[in-house]
Amino acid sequence: MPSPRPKSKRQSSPAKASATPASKPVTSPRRAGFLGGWSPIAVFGAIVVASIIVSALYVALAVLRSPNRGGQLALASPTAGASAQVPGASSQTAAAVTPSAASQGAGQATEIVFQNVQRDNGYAQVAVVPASDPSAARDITDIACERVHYAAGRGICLNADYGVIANYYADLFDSSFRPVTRIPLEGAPTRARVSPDGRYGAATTFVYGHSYADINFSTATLLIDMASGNILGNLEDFTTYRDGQQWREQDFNFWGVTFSSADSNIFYASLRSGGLTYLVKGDIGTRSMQVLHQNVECPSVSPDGTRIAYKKLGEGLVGQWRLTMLDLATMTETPLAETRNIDDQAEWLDDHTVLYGDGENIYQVPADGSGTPSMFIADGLSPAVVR
Amino acid sequence: MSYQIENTRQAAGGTRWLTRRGGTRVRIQPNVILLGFNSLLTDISSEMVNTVLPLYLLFALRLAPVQFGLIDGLYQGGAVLVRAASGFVSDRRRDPKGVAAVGYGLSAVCKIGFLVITTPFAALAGLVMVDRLGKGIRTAPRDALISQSTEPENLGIAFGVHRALDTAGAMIGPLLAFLILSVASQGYDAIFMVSFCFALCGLALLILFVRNPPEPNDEDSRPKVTGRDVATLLKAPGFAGILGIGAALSVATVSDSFLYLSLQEQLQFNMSLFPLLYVVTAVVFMVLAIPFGRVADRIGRTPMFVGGYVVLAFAYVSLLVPTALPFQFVLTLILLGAYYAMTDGVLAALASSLLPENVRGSGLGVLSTATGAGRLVASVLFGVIWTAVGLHAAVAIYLVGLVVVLVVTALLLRTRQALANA
Repeated sequence: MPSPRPKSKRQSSPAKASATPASKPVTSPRRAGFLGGWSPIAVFGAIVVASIIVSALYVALAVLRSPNRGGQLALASPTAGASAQVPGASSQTAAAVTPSAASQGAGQATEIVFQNVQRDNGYAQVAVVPASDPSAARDITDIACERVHYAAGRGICLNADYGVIANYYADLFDSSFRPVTRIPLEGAPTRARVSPDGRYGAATTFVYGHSYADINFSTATLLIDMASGNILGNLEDFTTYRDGQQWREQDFNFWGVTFSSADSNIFYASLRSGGLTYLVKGDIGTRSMQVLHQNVECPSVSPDGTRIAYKKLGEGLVGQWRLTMLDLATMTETPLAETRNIDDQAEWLDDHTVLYGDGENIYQVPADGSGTPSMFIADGLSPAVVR
Repeated sequence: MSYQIENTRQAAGGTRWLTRRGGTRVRIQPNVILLGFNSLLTDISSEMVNTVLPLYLLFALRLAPVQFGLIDGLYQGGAVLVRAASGFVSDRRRDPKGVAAVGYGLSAVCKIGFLVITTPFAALAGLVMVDRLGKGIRTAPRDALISQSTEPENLGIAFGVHRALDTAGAMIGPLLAFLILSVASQGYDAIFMVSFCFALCGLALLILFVRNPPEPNDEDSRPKVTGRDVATLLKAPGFAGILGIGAALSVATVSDSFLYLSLQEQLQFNMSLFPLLYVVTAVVFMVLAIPFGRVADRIGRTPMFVGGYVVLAFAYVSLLVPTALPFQFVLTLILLGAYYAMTDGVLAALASSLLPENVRGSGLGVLSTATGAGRLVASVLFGVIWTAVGLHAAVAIYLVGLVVVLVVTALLLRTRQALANA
């Protein structure tokens, strides 16, 4: 770092003199040395001009790359060589599997809908791969989401426009990945789910705080009627019961809804109050919930409805989250083979395997605590299994 | 008195800003203006990144919240420790400009780093740390430069001018970042590049145009500043007192974010309006920094500084009064902005006037380490108290704490004055 210290009192270059005409008596840094005779004003001007050009170039490139340009979302155009695997997107391809509301429940997985995070290829846009060959070339749709989920022909996409004032919203989209309804949200998106029959959706946002690690985070979880786009309610307006007694606290926070395959009126979610987290089982019909278990975050109920995969907070000041399986019949917990700190709401591939993202890739791990985790989809997040 | 042609500092300047002060004119040295614009550019750069960093780390890089919390902690606390050290180095080398340039340079390079490094976590955390290190390094020598370029009687207004420009940058930065994000939803790389360009221009302004203070002719005969000189800092009349008062008042200060959250809880306004609170406070700070600096030069900087905290206490009171009127919202923010204008630059001016020139950087560094550490303690403590008794009650407890510290301060100052008069 050239840091000129005043040594002599003589003006060293005429160019410099023009920059600071009245500066004779005081200092004359060794500027001429490292500027090679250029006037400081010329050098500064050059730097400013170069900066403006580079900045403009980068911003222009970012604008061109931006997937949500002008808010227009178009039908996905499958990349060359990849067969059209977008659920329901294509009638011209015989091979395309088109899931419908009829093929709900614990059927065979057909596709995986997820958020693509390949940096040079449709970053943050929703992509699709066949469940039988998840490493196949992905079809990248034109919608970009921070969180996405999809089931039975209906999808939910949580996203934000970061204007001067950030604008958060949930877009409900159809099987052609065309947004149908936009629901404004109050904060940054964090969890999204669609019930296996496509009837209900759930969206969790941070109302303040930016993360679950922030002690004082606050979330809002909305239940949505996927067909009409109507909001059925905020979970905080439902009645909560603990040990048969009604329970109500100011600091209630709900997040991470998961819907039962057998009856989408039944859901599970996390509740936090007084610094502790609980698993609640809810019923949309009666607008009520009851506490089942403790230390359960981001639950995900298995297709057969017998188990919950969730993240369990470990001991210690800065505990790690461990993916864990809870047997609902016996309430026994089994830690899964993934030992890394995972912050995601797991998704069941089938009754024996769960999928989850680690921030970069989607992994799979057996749901019974055996085996080892393995890569499922590279550069992907927020997996949704289409059955 | 405003003009001394004999003063080499004044004769040194080409262009100067002239500001009316009473009937006479105050001359703001070109160095101060240049450093102000340097800070403006640098603040645009750092605040652009600052505002989007949570979004970028959590949503683009998908960092786990625990990791994010750690980085956030580094960001808030990382700068505090090096301040005193950089002040000392700048005194010892008698080169505040060079040391400040290292700090500005480090932060600029980090903006490029964000563009390149997205993983692993350790590298990212290191990058955030180095960025803040740069901030810590540059603060004390920069303030020393401002004070050494200014006549003692104009310190308040000089720091006022600098802080006003600095705050303008802090307002433009987030607006620019959000502007870029609104036209390019994943344009983080563009933000980092634009941020780097602003940092580069700021650095160029510093290296090319800012000058170190003139040195006496017998430069080499003057002994180098040693650790021992710094140890005697505390003996500089009044400095130890200001250090103690500054640190104690910092501990009783609720950080802005908490105040805004409290305001939100009170008035239940939409969370998306949150960034607006920072803007309103900054506008008030910017507008008032120069006039309050000028008034401080005339009526005394200590009363102005302590008065700033009295204003802050009124901001707490305004928060605690259960009215839920828009009026309260505006009043709280105005009081908060006024508090900044009455304390931030004024404290630097006050300390500069008490410190001998050869250890000024060290002294300013020690002072900003003390107040920074105080603020860190205040934030952690506030978080704990909030969790225990609730947000509203926590503000009330801090109000009581602030009033107690203010009363003790007033008593100490009176005693000292009485002793001085005796």
